[in-house]
Amino acid sequence: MTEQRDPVPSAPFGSLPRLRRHRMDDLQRSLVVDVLYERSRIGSANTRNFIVLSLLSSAISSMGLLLDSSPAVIGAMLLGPFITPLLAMAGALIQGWGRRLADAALMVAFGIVLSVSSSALIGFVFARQLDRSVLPSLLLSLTRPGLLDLGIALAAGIAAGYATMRTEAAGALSGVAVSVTVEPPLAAIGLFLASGRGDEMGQAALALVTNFGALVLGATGSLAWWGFADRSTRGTARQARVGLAAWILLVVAVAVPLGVYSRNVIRNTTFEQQVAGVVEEWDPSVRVLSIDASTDGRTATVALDVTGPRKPEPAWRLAELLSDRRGEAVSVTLTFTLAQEDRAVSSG
Amino acid sequence: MAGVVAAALGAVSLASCASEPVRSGRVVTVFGTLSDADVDDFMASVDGFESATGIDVRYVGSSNFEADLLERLRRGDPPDLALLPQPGLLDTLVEDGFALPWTGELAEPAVEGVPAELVDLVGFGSDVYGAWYQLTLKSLVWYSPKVFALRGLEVPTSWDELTSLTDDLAAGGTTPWCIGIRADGATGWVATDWVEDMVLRFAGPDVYDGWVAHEVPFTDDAIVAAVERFGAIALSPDQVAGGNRAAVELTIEESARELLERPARCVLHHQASFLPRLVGRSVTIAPDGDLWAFPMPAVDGGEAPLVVGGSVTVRFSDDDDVDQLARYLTTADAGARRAARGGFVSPRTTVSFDDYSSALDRFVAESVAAAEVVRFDASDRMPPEVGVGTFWTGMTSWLGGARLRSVLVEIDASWPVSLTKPAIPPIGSLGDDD
Repeated sequence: MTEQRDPVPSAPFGSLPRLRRHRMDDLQRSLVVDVLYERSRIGSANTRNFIVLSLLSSAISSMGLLLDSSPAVIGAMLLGPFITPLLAMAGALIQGWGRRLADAALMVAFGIVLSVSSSALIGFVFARQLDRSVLPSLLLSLTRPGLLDLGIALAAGIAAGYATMRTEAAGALSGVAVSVTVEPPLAAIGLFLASGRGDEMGQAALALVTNFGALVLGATGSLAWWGFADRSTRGTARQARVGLAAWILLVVAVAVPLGVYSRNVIRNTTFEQQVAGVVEEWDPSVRVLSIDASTDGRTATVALDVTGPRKPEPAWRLAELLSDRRGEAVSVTLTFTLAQEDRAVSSG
Repeated sequence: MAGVVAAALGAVSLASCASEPVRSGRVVTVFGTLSDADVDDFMASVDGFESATGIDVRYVGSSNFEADLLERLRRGDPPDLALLPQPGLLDTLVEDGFALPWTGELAEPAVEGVPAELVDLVGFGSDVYGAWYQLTLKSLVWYSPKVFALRGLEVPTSWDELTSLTDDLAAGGTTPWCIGIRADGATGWVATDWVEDMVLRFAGPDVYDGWVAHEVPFTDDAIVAAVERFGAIALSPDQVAGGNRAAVELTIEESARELLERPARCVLHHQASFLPRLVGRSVTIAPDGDLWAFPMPAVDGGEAPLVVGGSVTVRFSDDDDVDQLARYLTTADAGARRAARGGFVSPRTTVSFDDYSSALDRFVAESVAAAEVVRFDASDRMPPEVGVGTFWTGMTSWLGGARLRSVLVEIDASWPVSLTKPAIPPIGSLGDDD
């Protein structure tokens, strides 16, 4: 009997695949380039698909946002067509291909126009009046872009680049990852456009610009790491460097205000939790309908919407309590709705 | 079957405290109606007092001021001091025993440098129950000096000149006036300010005083004529941008901004000296700037009689720290520090005209000091049921199309029968007559 011995593990968890740098061979690269740039050009055979999928994915996403339906929004992501031109832009940045970069960017812009038009049409038909206080949570979240959203887009871009270079990875799933960061903001922009909500549209547009920038940057790094660069077909090295540097600057330029915004969101969320706690102390009889609290570190503003069986304690008392806790000036705007039950019976 | 009936109430409150940590645990609270920007200016003006005394000043304000103050007092939770915008409410506070007199060492600072007619409003028996803190000038007509220069218009100095100016403008296709009276929880006060100016000009100060005391009823011919003079402007589509419908529907802020639109929707706007805070954007307030004002002219072209508003410091706590702040707010130092931040006029002659950093504030202070006839805002002196109640709502209804006679009868009927002001000391016995 031969003794079977377990192989000595080379690592604590066995033999892990190494993410070592891998160079594509010329044939593989040539195939990827042909497909990528043939499909990322307006007028190519892919254009019809791109138009249809842009319109449909945005329409489905818009309706999903209005219904606050995650499955519908995910469905829209499966149709999203932006992965191809975005990868084409990333590859063109690495190689310094100005013309191809312009073609792909034009296609992305075309897709944005189609998608926003589609969602705006849905908005005009179904949601001319969007009240911020009752926005569906999925739609509301798109008005609060933050650094984490940028992180998701960056990772999605890396995944998309990796999937393109490694044929064994699932390309469709990386397409969904890209769509996660593109389709909902596009739909939100159209919906807010239709309802004339400029501030919210601006926030959704910031989310979109951030996500596009981070996606392309992530994909650029990913493609470069796994061997997309090819000296024989590259433009000048200077072109490539300038293009990439410009793109990084763009992402950083967006990331800075987004970082400040994220910090404010976190600070305001913490503040809103504090307000909720103080409201219980201020008047236990009220039920909070909504809290909108913000602070610049010196002056805090609270808009509170409550309901209850009787008129609540005066607003100044709440302002005073909050001011005591925070050591800063606090301005409170209180809206109260009397909840009153009215029963009636008729014997017929 | 069950249903839910909903009603909405609104309130705004603002609390402010010094940004530094509490130094001594000695806190004096001030309750008032100041808006957010005014709170910052008020708090900055007492910084020196806080440093010198170790007392922390806390300002708490409410848009529901009158109701909140009365509720606090009745439940035994009074603020230490209040900045009261309505002397009419002081009557109630004194009658109910809430307000404390300014006696002993506080008696003289309370009235120092304050015109006698203002002192009279806070005097009850032989004591005063409030010290004047701030003054606003109501009888102003705002205009754009640039538009006046462009069109070759002259600032009118008599009622006839004003009428000629507005008639000429209307004949030339330009709407002379912008009016908007809508305000959260306070719709109508712009209209009552207009009526007060008409009564003071065309009926005179004696009738004005009688009207405030309800010795002259709202249905008196003099009052009816004054309201109709306002109506000749406010109800005429040729005189008011958008006509009386716009006057009722526009907010005070919207109508103020109409003066600044390009092309301007109107040329004149009747509003108090705090108009710059209503326009909500940075404009140059100067005789050659974006906006400036002239006093609503007297009928005969002489010195214009002026309607003023303002706030009074009222004491509710008998405490050394509270008295220190109360006394400080009457000083020239407190007035000068607040005046240096703009948007403030002291009613006291102890504050020098040179202390005002803003040309508008200086203009207001000089105009009030020079005026021969100054009267406090009638609606703020009348009982609250009338002054900030039926007078406001009645004028709003009338501008909306209700019959004037019916409205005035209803206002008269709402006057509380039992409320009579305690004896007022003779003018000049409590303060300067400057």
